[in-house]
Amino acid sequence: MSIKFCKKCLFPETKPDLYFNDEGICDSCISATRIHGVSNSIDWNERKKNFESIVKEYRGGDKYNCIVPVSGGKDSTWQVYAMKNIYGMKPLAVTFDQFDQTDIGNYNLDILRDIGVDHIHFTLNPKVVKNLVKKGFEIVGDPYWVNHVGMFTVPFTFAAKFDINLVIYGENPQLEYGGPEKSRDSMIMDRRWRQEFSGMRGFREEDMIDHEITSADIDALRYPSDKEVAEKDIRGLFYGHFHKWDAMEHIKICEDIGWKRLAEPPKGSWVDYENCDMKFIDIREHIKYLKYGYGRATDQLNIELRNGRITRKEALSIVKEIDGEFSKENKELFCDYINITGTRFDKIVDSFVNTELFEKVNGKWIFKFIRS
Amino acid sequence: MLKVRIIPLLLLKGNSLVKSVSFADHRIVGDAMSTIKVFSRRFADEMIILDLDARDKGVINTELLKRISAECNMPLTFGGGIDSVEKADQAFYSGADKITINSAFFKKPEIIKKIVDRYGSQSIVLSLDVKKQDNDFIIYYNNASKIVTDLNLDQSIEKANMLGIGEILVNDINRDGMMNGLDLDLIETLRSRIKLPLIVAGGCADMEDFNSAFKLGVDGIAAGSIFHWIGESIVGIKTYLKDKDINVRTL
Amino acid sequence: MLVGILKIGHGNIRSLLNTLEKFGCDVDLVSSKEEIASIDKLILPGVGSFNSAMKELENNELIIPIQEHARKKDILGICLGMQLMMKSGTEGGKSKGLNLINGKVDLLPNNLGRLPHIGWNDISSNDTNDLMINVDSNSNVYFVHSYQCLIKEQISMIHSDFYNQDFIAGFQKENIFGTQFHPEKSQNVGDLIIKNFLEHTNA
Repeated sequence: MSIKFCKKCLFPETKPDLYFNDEGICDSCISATRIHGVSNSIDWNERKKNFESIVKEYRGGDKYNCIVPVSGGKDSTWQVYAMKNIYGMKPLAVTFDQFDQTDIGNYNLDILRDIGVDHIHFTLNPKVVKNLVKKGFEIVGDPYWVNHVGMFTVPFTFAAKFDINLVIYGENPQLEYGGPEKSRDSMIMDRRWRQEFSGMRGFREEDMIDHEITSADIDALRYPSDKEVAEKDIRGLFYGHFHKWDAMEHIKICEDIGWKRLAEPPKGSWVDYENCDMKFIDIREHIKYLKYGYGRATDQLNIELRNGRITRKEALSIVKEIDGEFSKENKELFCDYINITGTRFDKIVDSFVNTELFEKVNGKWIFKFIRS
Repeated sequence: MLKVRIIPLLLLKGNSLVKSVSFADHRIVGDAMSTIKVFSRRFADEMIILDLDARDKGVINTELLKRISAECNMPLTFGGGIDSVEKADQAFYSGADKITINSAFFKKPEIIKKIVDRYGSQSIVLSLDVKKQDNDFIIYYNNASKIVTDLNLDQSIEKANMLGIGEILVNDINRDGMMNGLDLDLIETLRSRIKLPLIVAGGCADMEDFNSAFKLGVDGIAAGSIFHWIGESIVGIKTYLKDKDINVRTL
Repeated sequence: MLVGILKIGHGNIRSLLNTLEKFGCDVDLVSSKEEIASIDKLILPGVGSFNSAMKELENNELIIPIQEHARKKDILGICLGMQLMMKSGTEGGKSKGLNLINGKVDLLPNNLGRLPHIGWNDISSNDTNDLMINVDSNSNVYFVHSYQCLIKEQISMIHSDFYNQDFIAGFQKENIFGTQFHPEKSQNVGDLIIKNFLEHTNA
């Protein structure tokens, strides 16, 4: 048995929703050629005009005219900046509180507010959050499940409550990271998208209800009804569908206004400017690595690769070394937080391992194939 | 009173969950263990797992099946190219409560008889892939790639009875994965001709589909897409069905 | 406490093992006179046919050890296991059972409804039955069988219905228990019933 890797980047065929063409190139790379105008180009001018024509309908006046979900990360900070200073809108920034917010993350939220926007920082009942983090970890191998749901629900709830028509998200993940053909050109983020792509993994908020979590506890995580969304004409859009996404440009602008990166990349990651607000990101990525054969370092190095900032050969050797790593200290802190033992942690992580890809050698999971 | 059954149908390839549309175009949508854990929390009545690798490569991933049966807290039916007593043994030993057979029914019926003798009628489900044509059905096998030429539906049913098979699962190839709705005409016809417990699959789109099919007398409905995507939750569907006086198991 | 599962036939006992492990039991698979003598509680699982199962028990000289065990210690027969406890059965040809209970095994009335009887059905009990402690009336459990036990003794019964015709879904005769349904596949209700069996004392 062997595993195919994309000829251009480092994604393995075992990544969900990844498609290879006849030449063995993945759709994420193909999308990149479209994004950068190499072939079957996306007409960015056209799309930008399209965006302007949508937002100008709502521009002006004293009321908020768009919601921008923010985490303090570089992308959402850029979003707020763009909507306010480039598009002249009055955004309401909305944060769904991260259970593992870092100091840098908090600092960066201050910087974001200093752009000059009103901000709602929504914190779900911490007891409920802790329980949902534990369940997310145990059931779908993702402690951030509650964050995904919250991030893609609460902004819409507020849009409905405040009568705001637009909710502006960042990149279309299917375009940047790979996804079913129809979804790559989607500009709409709606209930179906949320269910299919937002990281909920087929797991619905009402699945969480049991003897510990009540229906009332998770009410804040319920997406507004189709009726309400239609009546209030609420639209979720991906900014990244209409504008060529340039992370390095965004970082520059953010740092100019005071935004800070991490002191060093998290374990298993290559860059220091992503996931700055997620302390336990290495744990989640470690599980993802064991499920699908690739982790955060692969994601990030692929982007460097596609932007011509590193060769595939160099990226490959880095991935072989660091992909999937996580810090022991974080494991302890995480176990403490959700109140489980280290042994139980190991047992749960083991339950998600794709044993076609990994085998246990001396207590450690080793990738069975040669990465190429 | 015996309750009708709602049965998630999961396709596995390796350790991944895949989705199909019209039996083709398999797309990896997640990992097997998360999915099993999620469905075990919902209120389904049974689960059907089809291992595509086992079917295509002839080797059952018993290690994965053991892990799945440890997490799966409801009756589990396993299928994937079972065409020998040894494979049936492996499946049951690894935790399957029932097995489903498809190609072997047409190519090696003598094996079916052996399995029935060993494990009992109630442990085998015959999976039939059909396309409606005029007033009859074309039956396929081998992942819906080949047509059965020597048996029509009635003959297949008779053969199933003779071999002692306990249950029949009919897949509507045309509606598979589309969420366009169940073909109620097809279901009504099947129900009138099949006397064994009958499970139907293919196209379930909403709660009313479940209601209509159960009203036609099917014993179980298997579905994939509807439970993964925007579709309804199992508890939601069951509440709806209870209101419509369907005999369904609820919380 | 050591629980023994009789190794018989070829059925899936994994679910049963998983459930027992969940309750922290020590479990052994037993298939000899000595092994049966060493355990505290015995479970007869059930997949296969009456006739072939009894033949197997006879060939392995297990009939008497099981009967011995059932004189004083707890024993639970599940599905076919319950049927084997009867005096006689008809599946696969008429044959003698373990004769722990005065009753016989015959086909469910197939003129009334579809066979096999597969799926979740509700159970109830008018008599005190230790398996049913804390089990809500009309709880659903999972059945998958074509045969039923017709019991002649006046013992505590658990009932269900096959297309409106009453049939025996379980029983208790002091330390001898039977369930026609599969508690190990019946989620919460099933877990509770198994727990009740494990906690039963003969005091």
